[in-house]
Amino acid sequence: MQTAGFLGYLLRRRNYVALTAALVTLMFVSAAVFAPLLFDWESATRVSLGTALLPPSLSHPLGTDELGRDMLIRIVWGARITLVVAVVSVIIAMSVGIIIGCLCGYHENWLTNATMRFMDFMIAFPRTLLAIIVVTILGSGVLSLTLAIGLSTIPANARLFRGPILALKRRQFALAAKALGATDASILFSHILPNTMSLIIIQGTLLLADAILIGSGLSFLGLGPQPPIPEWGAMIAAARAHVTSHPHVIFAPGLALFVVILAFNLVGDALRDYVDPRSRKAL
Amino acid sequence: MGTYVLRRLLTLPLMLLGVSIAVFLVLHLIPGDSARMAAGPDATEADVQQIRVNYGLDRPLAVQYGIYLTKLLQGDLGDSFQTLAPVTEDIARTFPATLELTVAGMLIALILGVPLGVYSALHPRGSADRLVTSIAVLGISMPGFFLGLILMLVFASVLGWLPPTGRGSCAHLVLPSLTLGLPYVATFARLTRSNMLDVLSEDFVRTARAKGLSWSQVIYRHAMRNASIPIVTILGLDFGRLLGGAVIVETVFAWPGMGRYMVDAIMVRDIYVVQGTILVFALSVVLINLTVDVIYGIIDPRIIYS
Repeated sequence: MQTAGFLGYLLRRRNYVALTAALVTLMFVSAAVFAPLLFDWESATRVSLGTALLPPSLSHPLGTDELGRDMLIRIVWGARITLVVAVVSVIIAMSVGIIIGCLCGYHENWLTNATMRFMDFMIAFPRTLLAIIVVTILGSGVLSLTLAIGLSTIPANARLFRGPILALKRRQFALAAKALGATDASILFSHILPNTMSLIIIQGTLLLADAILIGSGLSFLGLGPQPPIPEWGAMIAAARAHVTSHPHVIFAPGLALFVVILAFNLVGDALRDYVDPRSRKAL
Repeated sequence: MGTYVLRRLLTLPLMLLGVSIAVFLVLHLIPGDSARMAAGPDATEADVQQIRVNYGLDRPLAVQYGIYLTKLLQGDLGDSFQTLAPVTEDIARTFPATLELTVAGMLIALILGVPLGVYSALHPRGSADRLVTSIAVLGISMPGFFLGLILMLVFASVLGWLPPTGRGSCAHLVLPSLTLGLPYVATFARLTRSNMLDVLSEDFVRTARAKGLSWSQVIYRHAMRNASIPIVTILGLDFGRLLGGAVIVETVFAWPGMGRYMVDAIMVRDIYVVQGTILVFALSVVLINLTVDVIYGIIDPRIIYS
């Protein structure tokens, strides 16, 4: 729907960096979606020590890892895991964060004030640590990693969305709806919330980058998906003993992570410029 | 000012109490039996039960918390299941290492970031300015462990200039603190730049110039002081983030800090260690935020706390 408009905008502005970034995110999402059609799960996880640590070649374009598995196949499957973890965690963080932000922005009383104070207190805590605590409770794995990232991002989202809602509910159209007898729920969801849609899309894109970054860090620590699941951070952790002799085992997943996170951040920034051209001047 | 600091300090025990209850509850909700974990795979049912009794794990939750709190007030965080050493001893050994790493990382970000930001504010649209805006996004996109491994590969393995892992000399500190601090350089630079630009357009800067002060005096005595207020705010928040990042950097460089100690304890469900380390992390974050509030007052005497 709006995608074509956004890409056209990037072309008109000759923003080739953001265009490349959009292309990279598209490639990443396709790899994640079509991974089962491209390679079977068996070849991403089967250990064959005879082919361990081969440098990149025609049969293994990115080489093989310390257990003889093809790096390209593992990276493509890793994209699928990364995307699922990132998307689901962002959905959790955004939906709960927006609900708390809405309620605390729309109703101003002691309860919502106390909730926001608590959220502010939580924001002061490093997210990596919050996520580690959640993983400690739930145990390591794909699901708990997803929940850990999602839950630890809720406070920041609640605060981010409360501001605009606080401002929007004092605007004429919201007051008019109230004067016409609309219920609180209908004012919030059909009048106020649609006005934050651009913020939701921009924040969602930037949070995806953030979720991938934090998730890979936790996986690197061994708190994410367990072997033989091909997660990029975990792949780096498993192969790091061989970094000196076979740098490709680190660089393939590491560059994949860096490029994908960078792409999401650049697309998010470009989206912000597209939606609100004034923000570019503020930079 | 004095009463404000005092009042904030008085809320500190209350916050700690809240944090201790939260951490205590959270860790008792963990599925999995830590007593069985501590007893090892070959333990009999009687052994496991004995450990439960020894550590008081068979008592009601409220009683367990009461015992935990009493001990906490006496500076006793319990003993590790793994090493059998008191957790406080391990924290006393590992926390300074984490603090050293975090402070060094912060200093790198500040020492490189703030001057870069001032310079690009004074030369808008120059090459430094363009550099700052373009490397900021690189900084927030780089996973710390990947950056660390690259630095280790280049400066330790290939060039052999610096030791790859461990703690000890200043040379050991260089790579871990660079890994931690570099991603924040551009963030600080960008923040300094935008604050500096705001301040430089204010009337008092023009007045200071008009009364004959040199540019450097105006910048360092008038503009910098005003521009640094928002930087101090971010400094407080980023200190927490660096503390969290230190957990990952410690793993990369085998730095014997509290983050690594905590993660190792999580793997084997050594609850007293996890409890103790999280408590100390929380305490540091609370203290840092308090310090930041006090620093505000010093930089900007207009702030009156009510």
